[in-house]
Amino acid sequence: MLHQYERLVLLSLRQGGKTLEEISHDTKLNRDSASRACYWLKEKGAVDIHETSEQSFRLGEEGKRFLQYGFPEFNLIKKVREGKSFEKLSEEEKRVGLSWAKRKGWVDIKEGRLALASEGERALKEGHPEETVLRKVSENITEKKDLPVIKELLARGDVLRSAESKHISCSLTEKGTKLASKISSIDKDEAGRYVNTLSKEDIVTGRWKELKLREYEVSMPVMKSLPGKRHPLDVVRNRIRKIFIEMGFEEMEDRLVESSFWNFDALFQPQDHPARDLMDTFYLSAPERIPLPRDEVVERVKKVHEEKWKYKWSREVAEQAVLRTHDTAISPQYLLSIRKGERKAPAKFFTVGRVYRNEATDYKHLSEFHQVGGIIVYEGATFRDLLGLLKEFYSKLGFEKIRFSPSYFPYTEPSLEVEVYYKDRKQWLELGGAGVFRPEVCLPTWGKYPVLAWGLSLERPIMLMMNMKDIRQFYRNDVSWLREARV
Amino acid sequence: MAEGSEGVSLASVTFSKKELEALVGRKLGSGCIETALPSLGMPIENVEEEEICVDITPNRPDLLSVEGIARALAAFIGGKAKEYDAEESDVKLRIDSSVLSMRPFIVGAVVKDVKINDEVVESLMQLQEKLHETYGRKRRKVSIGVHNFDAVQPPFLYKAVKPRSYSFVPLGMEEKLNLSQILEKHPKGREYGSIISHFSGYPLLVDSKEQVLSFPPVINGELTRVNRNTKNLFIDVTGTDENAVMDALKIVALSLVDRGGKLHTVEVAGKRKFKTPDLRERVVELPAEKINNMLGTNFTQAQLFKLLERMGYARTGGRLKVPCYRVDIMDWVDLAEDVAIAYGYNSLTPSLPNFFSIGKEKRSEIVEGRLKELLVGLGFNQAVCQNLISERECFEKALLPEKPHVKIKNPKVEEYTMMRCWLLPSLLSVLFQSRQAELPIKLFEIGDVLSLDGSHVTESRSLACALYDSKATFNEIKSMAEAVAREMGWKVGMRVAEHPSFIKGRAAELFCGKKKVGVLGEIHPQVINNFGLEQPVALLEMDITSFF
Repeated sequence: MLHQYERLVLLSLRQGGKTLEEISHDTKLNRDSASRACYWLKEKGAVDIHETSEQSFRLGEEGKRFLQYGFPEFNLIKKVREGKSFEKLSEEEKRVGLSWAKRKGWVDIKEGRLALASEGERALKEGHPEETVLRKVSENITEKKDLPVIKELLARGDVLRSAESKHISCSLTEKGTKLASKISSIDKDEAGRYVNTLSKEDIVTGRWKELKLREYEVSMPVMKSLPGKRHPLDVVRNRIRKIFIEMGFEEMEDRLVESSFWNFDALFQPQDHPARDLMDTFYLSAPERIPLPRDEVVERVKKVHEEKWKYKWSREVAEQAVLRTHDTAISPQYLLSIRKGERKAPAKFFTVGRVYRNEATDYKHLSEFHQVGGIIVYEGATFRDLLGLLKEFYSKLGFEKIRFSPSYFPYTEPSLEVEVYYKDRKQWLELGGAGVFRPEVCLPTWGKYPVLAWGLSLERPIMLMMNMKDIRQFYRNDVSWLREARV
Repeated sequence: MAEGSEGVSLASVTFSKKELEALVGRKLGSGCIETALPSLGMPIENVEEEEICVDITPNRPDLLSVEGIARALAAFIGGKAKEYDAEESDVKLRIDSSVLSMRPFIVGAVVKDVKINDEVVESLMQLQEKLHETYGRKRRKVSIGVHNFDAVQPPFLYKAVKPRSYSFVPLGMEEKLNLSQILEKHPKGREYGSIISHFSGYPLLVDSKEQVLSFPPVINGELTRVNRNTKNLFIDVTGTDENAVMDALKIVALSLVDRGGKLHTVEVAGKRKFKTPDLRERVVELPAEKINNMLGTNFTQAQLFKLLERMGYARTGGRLKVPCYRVDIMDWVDLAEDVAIAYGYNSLTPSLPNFFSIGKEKRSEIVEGRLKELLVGLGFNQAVCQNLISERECFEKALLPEKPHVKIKNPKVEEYTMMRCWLLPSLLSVLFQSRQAELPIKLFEIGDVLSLDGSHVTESRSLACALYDSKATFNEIKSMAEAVAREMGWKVGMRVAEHPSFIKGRAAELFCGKKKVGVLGEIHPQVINNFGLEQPVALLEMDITSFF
């Protein structure tokens, strides 16, 4: 039994093979209905469908920038040619430009200086093919010979994005030609007795008994239902929160804006420590300062800095307001509250929150991201407990194989770095740091029990789970991505 | 935490496998290198053919050269540490009081009979550069000069001089320049001049014939340039921290000793007289019980000594000699870490804390969790946006009146100059990012908004919902707001409001008791334009902190 749409399509194809657009135009069916009818007919062996797909490209965020300002590696060699020193390069040229220029063999490092290699000179003379291709993509005039360059650019950050568009065309098979020729002779009354929909009236009056309900082609594609969903970051954030709560942890109340005192000083980071540099930390101009706690803890911290790091500690430097660079900033405040009797020990605390670094952003780095932090405070706490806790945590998160290696943080000793093994990529990936708080951190706040502490990445394991390449995707929140994203 | 992982203050050191093997004194399988270096805390960044690149953490300046790495590796696999000493010499270095107010500390050493080749020069340059960059805080705290000892005539004098009173040929140039000209013309002068340019005099190191060795912390003289024919070296280290200059000197001198040089001390005379480098080792107790308690282990005293010997320590009677180049050892906890490293972090059996505690989530998270569940049920997708934003994005584009907000003092990019005090602009940006997505779009975010009252920052939580579609209307968003209030049990009222971001007559204010908690309505077409959108937007934003 043919559906009305199928008949229309068959009639249209009697004049010869057509594209879907032409069929839709001929039959006045919309594209969707025409396509459905074609596939039904294909199932019945009445038409042949030829699918062709065409790849199209457009510029990604980086690509747009490169098109406007040039590729950083190309700008870099231009500057090298002009004899500019390394320090004169922009952040991006240093970071991205240098590594690509090296990879392309455009520069050498001779005696600690950048020098133009012969490949680089050739590139300068002959121009930069990638830039030409980028322009062609933006003007939508790429040719087949551009494909190798396009392929390289696709593999590189968010320079190019590709999309595939499908075209279909149909023609009648032998069976189809026979069917089509009979269409006009089909008994119209017979066709009329079949109905598509069942009305309320049909149901309540019992008329349905006389009706013939048309049978559907149940394998046909249908419209996609789009659910409302939580953001993958929040989904995993909650999974992690749940793991810690299962293990008996209490969630900390924390803040994004902190004094340098809590973010650095209380964690035994000397005031000239490079991490406190303007290059790495967001300092605030409003509020510029945050008053230090009216507590002897300030004196105790000052004393330990002056004794151990041997310099003159400045209260003013400690008062500078910052966006916290790690969520460990809250931990000494919790320790102090134990000393004051506001909280009790032994205890386990955790937080999953945002932290800030004044870094240039790219597909691997963000200025704002999340950390999973926490502390365990109890009398018999050992380094082995810390290893066990991390192992348990990652195994609950789905990473069975982990390993530890020594690391350094000014506020922990021993310190470690934790890596998980990611089966799909057969690779070890570093996910965070941990350690036992130094006595210099504990004694000024609360030094009775040892404190195990950690700060782990949230975004990185999710990128592994979702096979993502660009960390910026999380915060772009493209709804098409949010609808598809599963974690 | 995770400081190291983010690359802050890590230094990378590159060397060839061949050199490492020569310095360790034996062949090393690649498996040996690839496991031993990371287990010593030096993650391998890159291996390219024979070149190995490792990351060094800032506590271990002694590992900033292949010599230092080989020293640590040799002890680690050989089980015994190398010991160093220095012969006394009659070379003197006097500190003039004129320099005390600017860069008061200088120390020196002489290393004789070094077999210099290109590799040694390259390694020495790398060590100097890395020490300057990290430990030396970009030469502010410590700066190092290495000279051809035979080109000059001790005793040496370190003094402050008037900027135009001395001229010399700086390294890498051909003509004589005075100190002001060097700051102006020499690349290193431009880079490091700011460390001393505010003083009326500049520090200078000269020999007995007034020949210039170095203009610290800027540049050495061409006169003492080190090349392949140099045999005897003089090292000077100046700086603002006495311990740091002493430590840096030891580290540079010992790597030359590792290259076969013979170390001779220099007598430094300032306020007091002393000989440098000082290679005396600290002798400390080995607190076995404390270490075992911290690690959760049961090592005997003898086992602990054995493990620490693999980390370069030596036993002296019942006590422990800390190697002179281990400038990071402050306390017994540092010994505990070295024990754990020597034993192997991954050889320790993980255990779990054995006390009982009850988990507890934040009150706000409980409320937010319910709210998220509800909004997803209403068909919304959740957005998670950054709090960093710009004034232009937060206020100007959204036509929101500016209010006191948290401002960044040192923004690197113009997109991040403040912390947001509204969610509305973030959601409108998300709609722009999603302009290819199928309509209708229903979005929500529960996020931080930061407000400023004087110097007091309040961090609160807000909810925003946006509807984006040709049929997005006031009524629809109002119905969503009512559904939220009803389901959450919040007593929220509504009254007409005028708000610059919304169409006049199509906006309402939300209040709870007498307190204004939010706003909803149809977004003004000018705002829709400003964000590059093409369809009507109905939006709700409300503070939820008051309901926690």
